[in-house]
Amino acid sequence: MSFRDTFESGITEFNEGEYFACHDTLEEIWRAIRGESRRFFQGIIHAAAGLLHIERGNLPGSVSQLGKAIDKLRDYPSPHLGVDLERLLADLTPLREKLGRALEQGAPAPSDLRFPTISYTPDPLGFSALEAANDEHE
Amino acid sequence: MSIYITTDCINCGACEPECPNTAIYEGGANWSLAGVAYGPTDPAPSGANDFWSADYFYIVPDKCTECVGFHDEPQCAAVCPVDVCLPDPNHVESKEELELKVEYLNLVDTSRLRN
Repeated sequence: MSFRDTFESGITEFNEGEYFACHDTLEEIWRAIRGESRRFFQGIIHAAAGLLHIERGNLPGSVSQLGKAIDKLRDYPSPHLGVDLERLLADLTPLREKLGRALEQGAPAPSDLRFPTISYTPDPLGFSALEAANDEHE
Repeated sequence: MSIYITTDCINCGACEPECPNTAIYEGGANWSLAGVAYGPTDPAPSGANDFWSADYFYIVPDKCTECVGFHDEPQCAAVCPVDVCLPDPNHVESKEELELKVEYLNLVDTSRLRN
């Protein structure tokens, strides 16, 4: 399966709330890839892990992982490889802040959280360039 | 310094098969060294007793050499997709101490080594 096909499967899983499966799928790309987009894929993995931790009731884990997602993803222009990062970061940032406040107060995760989805527009040229750059790294 | 796994772990298990010392265990599992099995309340031979986890993969500091003797970098950290394998400030060791640990482990527990 190409990076693009795998990535699109991971995005679908993310948007369906299948966060562990999403992490598993994107990990395949993250492991295989070298170069500047590696942290981008890991950023999406962190976001999925953060949302997974919310579901599992791990508040410190969610705050930490969402923070790592934001730190990595904000290094990229939006869109990147078809992902509307501006929107994703605009969703993740207040979510992390809300969870962080709950953590500081020793409260459980709020029950009215809105889990973000990823807005994605296929970017075949971007993925072709990614595959070519990765071939050069190998 | 050994490596430890933070509570950010999502239990994907990527790290466990990469450890050349078999120092990583799934949460809730007993661990072993030199043929002796240890449970959740048993201290390690070094006295360390703060590493066992019921919920997340954990690393036994007495068995972790930060991959000294095997690789250039800790393999658990290299394969962890969520960056939760970190240097453990509670178990700090110099490179020389880690090299001695490898020698010690090779004397007492060759069975720990992966093929």
